[in-house]
Amino acid sequence: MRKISILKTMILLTGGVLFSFIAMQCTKVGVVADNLDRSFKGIPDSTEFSPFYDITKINNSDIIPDVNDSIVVKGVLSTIKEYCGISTCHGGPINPKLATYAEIKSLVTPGNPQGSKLWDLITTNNLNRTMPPVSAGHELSATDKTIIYTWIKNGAKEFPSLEDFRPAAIKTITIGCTSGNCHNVATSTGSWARANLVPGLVSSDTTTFAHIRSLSTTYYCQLSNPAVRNVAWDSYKDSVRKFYADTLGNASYRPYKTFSTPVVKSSVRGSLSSYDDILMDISFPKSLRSSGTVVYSSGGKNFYVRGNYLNATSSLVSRIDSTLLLANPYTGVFATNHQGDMAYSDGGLTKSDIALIKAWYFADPNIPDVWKYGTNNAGIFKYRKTGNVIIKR
Amino acid sequence: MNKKTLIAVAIVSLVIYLSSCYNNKEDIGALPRVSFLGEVIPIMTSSGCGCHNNVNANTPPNNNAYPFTRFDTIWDGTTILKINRSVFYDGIIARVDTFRLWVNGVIGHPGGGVVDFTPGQKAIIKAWIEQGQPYDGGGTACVIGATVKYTPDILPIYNGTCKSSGCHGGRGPVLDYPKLLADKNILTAMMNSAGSSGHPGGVIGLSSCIVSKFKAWIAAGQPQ
Repeated sequence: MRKISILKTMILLTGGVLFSFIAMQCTKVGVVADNLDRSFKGIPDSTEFSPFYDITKINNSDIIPDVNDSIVVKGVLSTIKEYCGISTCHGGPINPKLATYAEIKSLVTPGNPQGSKLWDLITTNNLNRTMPPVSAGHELSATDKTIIYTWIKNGAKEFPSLEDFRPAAIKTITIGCTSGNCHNVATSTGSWARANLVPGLVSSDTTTFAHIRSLSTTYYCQLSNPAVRNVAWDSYKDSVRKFYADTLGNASYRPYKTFSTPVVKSSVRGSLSSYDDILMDISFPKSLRSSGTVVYSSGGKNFYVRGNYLNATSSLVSRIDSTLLLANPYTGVFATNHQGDMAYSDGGLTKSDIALIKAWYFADPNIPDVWKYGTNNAGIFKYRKTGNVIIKR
Repeated sequence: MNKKTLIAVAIVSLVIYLSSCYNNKEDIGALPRVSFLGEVIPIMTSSGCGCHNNVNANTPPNNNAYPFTRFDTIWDGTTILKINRSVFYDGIIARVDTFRLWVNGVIGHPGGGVVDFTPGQKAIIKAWIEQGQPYDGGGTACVIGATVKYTPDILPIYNGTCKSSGCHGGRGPVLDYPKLLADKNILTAMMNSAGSSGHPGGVIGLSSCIVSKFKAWIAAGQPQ
C-alpha cells in the first residue's frame, strides 16, 4: 500500500513536471521567432526554370555533351538537401527520407503546390508543424521556395520537358535581347519610318539612340510612339507570313520595308519582343528578309527579300551557339565559321542559357522541323568538335 | 486512481512530451534577410541582364549598360569560352536608387526595350532594399580612413574596377600614379558626376564608396 502511494506520488509529480514543460514549450514562442513569416511572398513564376536535378543534359547534345549542352541551375533535390537533408535530419535517421526523386515526390501533388504536403510544411506559419524547424535557423529563401513551387506546379517531373523549357527560354530571349538599340520593335521599325517606307510616318516620328562604345558610337533611329510602331511591326509580320505562305499568289505582300533603295539608313534588328516575334524570326530569318543585295526587281523597284524561304544563312540557334555550324536549309551546304557571337559578346548568355534555349528550340512543335533538322532530315546543325549532325530520331 | 491509470497517465505524458520536442519553438537570433550574394546577384547577372554582363576582352565595352560582370574569353580550337568571370558588386549596389524606383513602378528599365524584372524578382529586390541592402560578403564595406592615399586606397580600386583588359588594362591608357596626378581635373569631373560625365572613354558608373574615396584623396592633395 505504501509502495503504491509512493509510486502514485512519483508519477503525479513526474506528470506534473512534464505537463509544465509541455505548457512552457507550447507557449515558448520567442520574441524574434514570433515575427517569423514563412508564407510564400513570391509570385508564382513559370519562367523560372526549376528542374529536379541541378544538371539537365539536353536532347540533341553532341555525342560527348559540348559546353553548351547542359543546363546547370539549382534544382529541387539540391534545395531539399540543403534545408532538410543533412545527416542528422531527413538525410539521416529521421523519416521521411528525402534523398531521392521518389521520396520527395511522395510529398507532393503534381500540379498543385497548395495541395502538397511539402509545400505546406515549408510555408506554414504554424510553428508546431513548419519545416525546417524554426530553431534550425535555416530559412528557405524566396528564390528557393520559387524553385519548389514551380517544380510542383509544372508537374513535379523527374526530368524537365517543353513546359519547363519554353517559358524560361522565351523570357531569356525577350528580356535579354530587347533593350536599348537591340531587338525591340522601336529599333526594328525606326529606320523604316525615317526612310519614309511606312505610310504616314516621317522622320520626326523617330528618335535617335546613341550606342556608345569606347571606340565608336553608332546611332539608331527608333519609332517613338508605341501604338504606331506596334501597328507597323504587326503589319510587317503579317506581310512576311502571307508572302512566304504563297510567294506567287501573295506577291503583293512582299515585305514593304524593301520597297525603295537604299533600304536602310542603319542596321535594323528584327524584334524579339514576344514569342510570336521569335517564331517569325526563326521561320523566316532576317537573312531572308533583309538580303544585302537586290534579289528581285519588278515595276522599277528593287526587292531585297528572297523568295525562297529556306535560302537562309542564319538562325536563332546558330547566332548564340559557337559550338555549332549552320547549313543553308535550301542548299544543304554548311558554313565554315560559327555565328555564335550573340552569346559571348553582345548577348551575355551563359553556357547554361544557351543550352536552355536549345532545349526549348528542339522541343517546341511550333518551330518547323525544317528549321531544326533541314529538308528530309538532312540536318542543318553540325557540332564543330565532332562533326555530329543533329537529326530527328 | 489505480495503478494502471497512473501508468497510463505517465506513458501518455511521456509520449506527449517527447513528441512536443518536435515543436521547435526556440527563439532564433534574427529574422531571415534577403541574401545579396545568394538572391540578388543571380538576378543581376542572369541572361536577362545580358547587356550588363557582356564585358569581355574581345569587344569594346558597351557603355550604355554599366557592367555587372566581366569575363575573359578564350578560343579552345572550336569554341569561344567565357572564363574568369568577376562580379562588380559595388557597381550593382551603387544602383540601388534606380532599382528602388524600378521595382516600385516609378520608372522602367533605363535602357528601354521590354526588359523588366519578373514579379518574383521584383519582390526579392524590393525586400533586399527595404531591409537596408545587406552585403553579406558580396561587397566591401565602405571604410574611408583619416588620410586616403594612393597605394593603400586608390590602387586597389584601380586594379579591381578599372584595369580590365577591355578598359585600362588593355584598350585605355595605363593610369599610374603620375597619370592620376596629371588627370586631377578629369577625376574631379568624373567623381562629381559618379562617372556619368567626364570619363574620356564614355559613361561609366561609380559606386558612392569609390566616389567618396577619390574625393577624399583629391581633397588631401593626392598623396602617394
